[in-house]
Amino acid sequence: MKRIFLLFSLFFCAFALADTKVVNVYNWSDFLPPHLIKQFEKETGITVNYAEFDNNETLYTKIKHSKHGDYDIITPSSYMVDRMRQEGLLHPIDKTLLTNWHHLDSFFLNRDYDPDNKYSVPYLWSSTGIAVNTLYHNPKEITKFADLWQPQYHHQLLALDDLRDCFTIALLKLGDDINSVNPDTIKEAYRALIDLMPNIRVFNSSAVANMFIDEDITVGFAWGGDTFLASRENPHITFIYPQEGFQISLDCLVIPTNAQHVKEAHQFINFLLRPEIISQIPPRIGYATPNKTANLSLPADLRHNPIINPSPQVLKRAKFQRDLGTANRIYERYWERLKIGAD
Amino acid sequence: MNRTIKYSYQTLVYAFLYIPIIVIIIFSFNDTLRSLLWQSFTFKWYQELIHDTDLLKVSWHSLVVGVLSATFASILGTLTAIGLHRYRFPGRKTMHGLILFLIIVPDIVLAVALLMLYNFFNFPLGFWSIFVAHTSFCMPFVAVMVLSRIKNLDSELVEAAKDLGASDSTILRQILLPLLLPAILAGWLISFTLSLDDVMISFFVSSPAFQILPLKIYSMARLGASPELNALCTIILAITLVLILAAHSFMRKKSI
Amino acid sequence: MNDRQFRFFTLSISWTWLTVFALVPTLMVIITSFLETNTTQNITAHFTLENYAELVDVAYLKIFLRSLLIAGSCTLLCLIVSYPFAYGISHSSLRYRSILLLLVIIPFWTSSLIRTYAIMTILKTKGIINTILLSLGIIHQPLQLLYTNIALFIGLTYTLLPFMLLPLYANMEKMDLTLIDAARDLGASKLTVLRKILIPITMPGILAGSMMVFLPAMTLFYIPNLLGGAKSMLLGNLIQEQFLSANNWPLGAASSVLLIIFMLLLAHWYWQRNPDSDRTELL
Repeated sequence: MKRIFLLFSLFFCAFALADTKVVNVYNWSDFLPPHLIKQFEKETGITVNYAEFDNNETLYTKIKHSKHGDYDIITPSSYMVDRMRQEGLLHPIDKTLLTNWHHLDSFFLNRDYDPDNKYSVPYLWSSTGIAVNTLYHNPKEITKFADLWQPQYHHQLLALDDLRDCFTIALLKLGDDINSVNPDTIKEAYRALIDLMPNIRVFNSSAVANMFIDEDITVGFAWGGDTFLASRENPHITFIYPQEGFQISLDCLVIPTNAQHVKEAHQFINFLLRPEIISQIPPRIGYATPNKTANLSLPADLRHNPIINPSPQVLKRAKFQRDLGTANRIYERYWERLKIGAD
Repeated sequence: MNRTIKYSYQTLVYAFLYIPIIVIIIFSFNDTLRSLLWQSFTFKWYQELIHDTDLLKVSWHSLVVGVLSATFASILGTLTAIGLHRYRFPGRKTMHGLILFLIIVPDIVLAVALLMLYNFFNFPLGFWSIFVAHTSFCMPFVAVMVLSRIKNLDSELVEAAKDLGASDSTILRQILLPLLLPAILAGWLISFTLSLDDVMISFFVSSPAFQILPLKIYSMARLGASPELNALCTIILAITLVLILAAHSFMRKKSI
Repeated sequence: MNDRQFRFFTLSISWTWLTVFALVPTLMVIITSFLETNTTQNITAHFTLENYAELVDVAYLKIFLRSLLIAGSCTLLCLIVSYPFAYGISHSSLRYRSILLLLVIIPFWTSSLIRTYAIMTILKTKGIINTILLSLGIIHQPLQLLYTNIALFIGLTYTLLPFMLLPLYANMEKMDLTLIDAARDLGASKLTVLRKILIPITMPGILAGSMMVFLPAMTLFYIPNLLGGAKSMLLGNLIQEQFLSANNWPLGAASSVLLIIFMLLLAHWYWQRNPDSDRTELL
């Protein structure tokens, strides 16, 4: 009996001692190539614990309920940064620790979701447009989000499992502001989405690239990053920037207030700001980087790929997301009802 | 029933049960990323798994959680079964009911219940939360298996020992434990398998600091099918098979 | 350790664990289902029936009906497939029986996540089913199977079939065959034998199996997540969504309580039909 207990306590001790220098990262699924994590661990001797989420709302819930600092680095989209910052969930970024800060493109800095980037560091960005497999559908018939409502797409569309993306396409179709907080407008957008439901085959945001590559899904709205990856494996996939405009999602690196490894978190962020590191990400996951120096080092075909980097004319139609304040609750209620299939 | 119909029907059901698994196993050795056409035999995907340090880490976590929670669940379950069988005490029926409740209650209820408990008492999510959760849902299985074994034991043996002046703890060590060992071991193996497979509960009570294998598989599966995942599943299938065969041989005389 | 101490030690350990990690959490779920959330989505200690009122809303009723329908028909299909199969194995010659049984036990204990993934790879547009059907010329366009309720249904049936097979087998194995022969000798038709003898005798197995299929079919949230489409949300997904992303724990708790009630009703029904059954037989 005693021997067994001894064995047990040894087991537990091995555990307790194992984690001294760690950083806990909670990132979007498939958003950081594993070899970069390994490289960071090798360079710094810090162990990276890595887990993945699928949408901002899940992330928000986890952070809200984590009182022990289970997370040191998370990657919310800009509007969620705004919300977390206002609710005091974020730890200020110490820019003196970030020696690579100057590589960032000023286009992405000091936006209204986080003035002066007090809490957030831009990480990767992508636009939401329409992905089409030209074997199955004529891409000329799809020029705007409103086309997705046509009956010919019955039970075919992929819809991103993301509240803001779904409402954005409805608001754009109706010609409204994508950050609208007017309850009537939101309700109208909700009705529009209800009308779209018969066309939606699946809500998903983690398997998008695979779905398009394997032709399990042939049309839908998707992030440019996933579509880029799919288009490399399956040449029939194209990406359309809708006429009504489109939204840009900028995902940021932030540190939660109760993070327990703030110093290591900064080291990790600084690592990801290094041009030769971050420049390895766009070719692998298809998202563009706001890192100026890194962008210049990308191969020309990648830099000029319209799916990753839209032309300046197209970019004029781009819209940024902001936090919706109290209207969040209204959106969430409708979103929930939409997903459970209410009328 | 007509013989041929009977055999072809049985074959059909077995085929339904096994073909999807066999397809995974076969294509884990196929040297192509996406196509279903057979290219050539390769161990490439297995080699990639070996070099995936994150995977090795979560596998190690799963192994530790599995061994520890199965062991703890076996100890707790055995004690509970013995208590239920040997003693009459107030609330005995409640305890029995609670154990049956834990066995049939859908995992998701247990998952949200434990999440609430941890949240309410500010208990951090990580190794301990998963360990406790796994021990909790495995323990009733051990208890029930041991209990059904005790009932079939010769009660005179215990009575005789008692008459000869043996204390309860001596009876436990000298008589009950050796006799119950097959059931306890089978319970241990089943707990270990359950712990290794659990997604539902771990999904709710884990944090990124401590991920385990089934969660990793789930997050890989959500990205879509891939040959690496086929290879990983094949390895786990092999391990499960060994465990089942072991448990089966322990329980041979008694059908599970 | 003397006997009193030992008794105290054994019982207190079991009781403490069961109370802290089973009884209290379950009570917390029940209590929370009667609490309110405020505007910042925190739970407040105000009693309300709002959560249950909300569940009666058409939208949620739809999910319950869909869950009942899909889980119910899946259970029925599993039963229809398993019944003759289990009967077949339980009366096969002793030489093969243990190997035939082992072949059922293996999928029973294999991770259902892995088995769900296996079904996913098979149902893909470029999966084996479409490949075979296309090459045989039965279809000319690949079938879009994945991300539909059909896929969900196939996946649930495939994953849960062993949970019906095993209890049925365990029950039939103990059956007295002479009863059937006697009935046949007395001139009963096959149908009568099935209706009047087989089904009543195997009822405990049927009920146990149904319980082991029906409840997981409603709650294994990863099966609809991996295989289902936009209209495949079941009770388990609803609870998962309420807890992990919509952040409305009281509503999620109320749905869980509903699930517990379902379960207790089924269990009650089971034990009423078999009052003297050894209650551990569910395993």
